[in-house]
Amino acid sequence: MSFAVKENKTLNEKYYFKKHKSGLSVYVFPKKHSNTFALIGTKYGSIDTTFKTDRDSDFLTIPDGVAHFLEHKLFEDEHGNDAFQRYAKYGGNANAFTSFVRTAYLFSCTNNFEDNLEVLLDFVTHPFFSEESIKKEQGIIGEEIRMYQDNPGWRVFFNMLGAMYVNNTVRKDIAGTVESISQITPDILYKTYNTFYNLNNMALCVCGDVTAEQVESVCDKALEPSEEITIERIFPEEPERINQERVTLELEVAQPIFNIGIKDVPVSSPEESIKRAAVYEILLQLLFGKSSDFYNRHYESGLINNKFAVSFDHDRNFAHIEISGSCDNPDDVKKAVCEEIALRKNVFFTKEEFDRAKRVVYANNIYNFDSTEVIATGFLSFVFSGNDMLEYPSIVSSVSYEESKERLMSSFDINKCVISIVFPKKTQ
Amino acid sequence: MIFERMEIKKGVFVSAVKTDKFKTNLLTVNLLTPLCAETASLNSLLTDVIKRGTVLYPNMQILHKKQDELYSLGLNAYVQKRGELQLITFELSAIDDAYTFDGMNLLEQATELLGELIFNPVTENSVFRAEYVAQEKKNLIDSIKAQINNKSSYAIKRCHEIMCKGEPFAVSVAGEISAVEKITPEQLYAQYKELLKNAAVEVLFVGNRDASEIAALLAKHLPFTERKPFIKETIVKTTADEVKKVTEKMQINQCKLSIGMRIGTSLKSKDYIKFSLFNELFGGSSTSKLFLNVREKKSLCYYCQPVVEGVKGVMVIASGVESKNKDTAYEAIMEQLEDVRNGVISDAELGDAKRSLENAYREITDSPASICAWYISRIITGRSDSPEDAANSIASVTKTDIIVMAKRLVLDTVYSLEG
Repeated sequence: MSFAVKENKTLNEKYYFKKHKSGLSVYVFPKKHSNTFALIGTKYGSIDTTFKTDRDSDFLTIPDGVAHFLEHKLFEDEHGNDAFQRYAKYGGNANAFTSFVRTAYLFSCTNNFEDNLEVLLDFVTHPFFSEESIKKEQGIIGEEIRMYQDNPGWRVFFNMLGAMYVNNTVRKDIAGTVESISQITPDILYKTYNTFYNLNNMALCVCGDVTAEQVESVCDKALEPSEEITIERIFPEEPERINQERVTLELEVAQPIFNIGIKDVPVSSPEESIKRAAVYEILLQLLFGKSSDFYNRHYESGLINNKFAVSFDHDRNFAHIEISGSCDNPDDVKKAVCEEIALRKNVFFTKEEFDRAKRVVYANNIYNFDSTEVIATGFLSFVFSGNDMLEYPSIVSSVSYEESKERLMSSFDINKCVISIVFPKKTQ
Repeated sequence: MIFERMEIKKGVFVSAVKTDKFKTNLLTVNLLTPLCAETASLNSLLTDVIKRGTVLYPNMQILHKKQDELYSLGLNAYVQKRGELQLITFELSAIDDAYTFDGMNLLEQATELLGELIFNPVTENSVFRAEYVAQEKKNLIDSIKAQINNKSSYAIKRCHEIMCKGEPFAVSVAGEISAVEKITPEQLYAQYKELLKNAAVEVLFVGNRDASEIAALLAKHLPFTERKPFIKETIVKTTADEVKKVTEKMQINQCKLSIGMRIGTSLKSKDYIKFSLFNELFGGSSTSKLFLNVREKKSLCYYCQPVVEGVKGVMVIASGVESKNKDTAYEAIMEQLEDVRNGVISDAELGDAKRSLENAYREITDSPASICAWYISRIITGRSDSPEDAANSIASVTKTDIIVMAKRLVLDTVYSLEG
């Protein structure tokens, strides 16, 4: 079977797709850059803590932080060598990351692409976990957790999630805690690995000066077929209401920093996912963008400053708007945000303002296509939500004035608005 | 990728890196001035006040609406530190005309707006608006205070300050609170006029135009006059007196250990490529001695890596460790350095470091911002070599070269920030 081709003539970009015989979905995005960026991801992140396959009789519940721990451990083989050393033979620059909903392993290189890709596919499909190597990793990750404890931006963010979500596992720190990772055993890692690192649950995205055939021949060489399995996950029931309206903490910061969250209803289909992303990006630009009345009025009054930022984040079972910044009176910002939303539900923006916001969203998206890393990483997240990155511009342009107005009225529920603040430590 | 540099007027230079790789164009106008305590805060505040509005677009909202119409044009002003120079940078990033849907001559209109921002700021009583100056003073002071929020970068900054006390390099590029507090609209405007008249101008462009096309755009929209700029050389110290040991307290969980060193060379020197390879092997990559031994084998820290300032010739080995392991980590780091000095370098390590560094250089050509950062450092140090040139020159560096560079390193300061 040959590769399917998908092209966007306006963007002047295209990609090739194939479900490889091993079960892996393969996407190749040609780009005349010096470097080639490749990442392989599994649809498994920190929120997936209770699961089973159709071969298992019982559900397994794992400690917090396993996805991230597994990401670290996969780099090491049975001889104690790490994958970085294997890449080093071919000059590949490697890394990995774990998010709420996925784990990904990546490299970029300007030479020896096939050799580097073979290293990636090989180490990700050959796990080795031992008591001894787990113990060592607990030390390194313990330091990583401690480092994040001192990071006010990280703390204020997770406190916001904890305020919005009552039971959803998205409220838990991705790396877990020093205590939770101490419960990790080789058996837990193997069971988790064998569930989620099945190639049918994974995708490979490559962007650079390479051909689909080059990628395929390395896959043929490095990958054994995975059995088709069905994964079942159990998530705690999440009520629509928020957990608590306000949460605060004191840390070594100079000025209070804040995250305001507005809880939203999760999306139920891929179509809804991409559409909502586009509508919200336009709405947030209208409401709180740099050219908005809100931003300028409150910047001039001194309530906010240029650290003020807004975004919409959503995935499998969560959706929320995030508003962040640093200022003297964060509670007043929350009040102003809620008032603005209430006002705009009554007096929506003009058609002219709407068209300008759409132009901004269109143009900002063009910037994404200048980097092989942004393309490959972005591509994976579109793929895992059942969508196509090249379709995003046309989805944005299809958003109508009326539906945006309707969306603002029906969502953006100010009764589901929370604030998390990190205050400076009081001087003793 | 073609690099071209020309002097369009005395003291005003235009450099262009022409490439059709990108869908966007990046243009920066850099005013080069000596980094010094008297003007650093003024220059820093200037970049904030100037963004508040122009004569044609007198407030931020009107200006931002114009940027929106120009396809979300990125327009920014900020200060940067390169050795002992302070750069006042005005930056424009625009999607290429080919991706506009109404056939707009975007780059030209964008340059015109950049010219308006630089040359035509909104004023009252012939100086900057008092209200804007007062607000931006408050914002800047808050942002200087917020430097403690990021413990790693704060620890590196403190280490630089202690190590280079008395040298211009110790001056904070963002400014000092006490100096910012005293600034008046009159002083700020006088500094602005002084910069426009006398600072060296380096314009850098990355995108699908050549230098002469950019020069023509500038002639039309950025009316810089002839000038005789005074450029002060960065002092590169290669020795240290007594090792300074400083510990500061903050209520934090993880200790930030910062080891400050003089590298015994600088970007100006032909030797710099040798130092860069030493650095890659010692701590710069994920197969380096620091990563493999201090992090992976001894499990002492989550990160442990050198942060190099090539123009000044200093580096800080920055790490995050548990306080009780601070001394052990210090010993482990110095032991790795001793190993390199003693020639404990395998052929595999050397090969890995070479490939890793070569890859890093070649990747620079894939990002407009990286290309820009590369060439501005080159221009300041009187060089014009490309990232590809640097990549190609690695092969000839030998193990002996690395040992020589390692021996040139001089310990200057050990700084730790702990709970």
